[in-house]
Amino acid sequence: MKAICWYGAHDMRVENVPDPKILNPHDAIVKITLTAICGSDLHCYDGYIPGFEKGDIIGHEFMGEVVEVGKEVTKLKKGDRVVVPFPIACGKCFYCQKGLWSLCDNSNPNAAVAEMMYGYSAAGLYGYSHIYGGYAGGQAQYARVPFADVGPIKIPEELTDEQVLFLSDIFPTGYQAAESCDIQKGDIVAVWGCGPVGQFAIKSAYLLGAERVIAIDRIPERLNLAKEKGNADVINYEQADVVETLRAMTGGRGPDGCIDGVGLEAHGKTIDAMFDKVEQTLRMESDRPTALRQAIQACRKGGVLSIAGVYGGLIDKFNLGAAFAKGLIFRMGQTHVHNYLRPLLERIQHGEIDPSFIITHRMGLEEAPHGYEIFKNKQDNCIKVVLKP
Amino acid sequence: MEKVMTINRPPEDFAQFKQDFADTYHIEAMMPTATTGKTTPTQEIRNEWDAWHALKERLIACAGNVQFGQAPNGRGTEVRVSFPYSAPGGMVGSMVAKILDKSPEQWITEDLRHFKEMMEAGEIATITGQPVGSK
Repeated sequence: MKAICWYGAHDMRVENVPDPKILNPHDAIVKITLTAICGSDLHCYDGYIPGFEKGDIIGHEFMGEVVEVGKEVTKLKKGDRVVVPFPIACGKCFYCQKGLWSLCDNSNPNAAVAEMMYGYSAAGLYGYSHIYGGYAGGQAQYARVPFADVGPIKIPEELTDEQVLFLSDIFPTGYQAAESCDIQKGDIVAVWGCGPVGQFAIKSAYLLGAERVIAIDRIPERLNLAKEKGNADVINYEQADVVETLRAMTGGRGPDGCIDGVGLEAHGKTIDAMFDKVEQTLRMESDRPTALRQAIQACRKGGVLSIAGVYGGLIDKFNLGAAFAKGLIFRMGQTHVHNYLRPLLERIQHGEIDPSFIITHRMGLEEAPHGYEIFKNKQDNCIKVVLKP
Repeated sequence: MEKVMTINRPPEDFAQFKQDFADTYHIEAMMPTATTGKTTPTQEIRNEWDAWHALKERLIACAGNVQFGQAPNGRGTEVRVSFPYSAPGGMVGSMVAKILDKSPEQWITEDLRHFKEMMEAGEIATITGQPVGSK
């Protein structure tokens, strides 16, 4: 089969590789009908995620048709059309049973490595380095899906692939980020980053009852999308002082919930952003938390900092003092996608949201290297690339 | 040295393993060389007993012990393994490390993790045999 493989920073290649096989009794094999490039894939593309090996198949947003099942799989059969959640979860450990699917105890074959880095290992993820298990990803024609009875959700015929693909990651990610803000009547939510996750966070905040959502970015087409499709008020952080503008827009209180939809490759023109860039280049700091620092500064006292953007390592000059002084609540982590598949599918079926609104580019799998380039460099008004194998 | 993992199964599910360890230890005490060195780290693990045997044999080979205790508030069973620490220059440590490139501590931790995975998930997470691009 054809697959997109990582070969180093800015080096994604279309390779011919063997088809995946059933390796464990709870596996299924899915023939992929649609997949996508995620903003978090760009951290891998830029070489910021450790633990990749040359030839690793990347990608974690995918869906398709079940073509084979292992002997212990009972809920799926050949021919079922499914969306696959990006964390791999056994369904039986303490964490899975508590609904903390992305923290599964049993799905990372390299748990010892993750333990060394983070203290304890979380779930394995598709296509996201050997620290997260080294699983072959879904930017390919086929994928092996472990614990197939636990993860994938069957999709009804009347919905198109484009309407449901983002249940695999970014719609639940935006939704969990908004839900984590514990939105009350009258709340104003600020969202840093108008990429795909940010766009879904904006939509989700309104679905959850936010009075108003304010979106922050610098890319014109992303701010426009947030305004036109998301009904958000927007701030261009290159043209305004974000913290003071948010203060003015919230009656002097600050946003009640602040969502970091940016993660470790934040941009900025402030002095701390400049230091981050230098330190990251010199490998003195692994992550650039500009958006996170701003969100901490801007958030109202007693508010929630909801971190959906991916961080991997260590950060510098973290304004913990401000967070402590204001009694902020931090919520973060990889999305527990399994919790959201069914409720968000229902919202799509009821017409409350059509997630395909964020797609700007459609291309064949073999054009993925080009897709990475335009997505990374925000060329051609690129916001979201989907790939058809 | 001690390692402990909590397995999401009630303590009564471990009674058979506890008895098996006691029986084996008793036999080992009478025939001290019976199973020493028989540990096969790459033995295929197909079920809970295979995973248990791999852990047990490694513990016996390292003169280790295992205890099963109730975790609080229905969180399962705490499986605690203990074994004498072998310094890198020690006979057991250096022999194992030289052949297998892992310390006894790392091997025992892996065996314990595999036992947990089998008892909870019914399989051991793996990527061996998956497709990969040319190196």
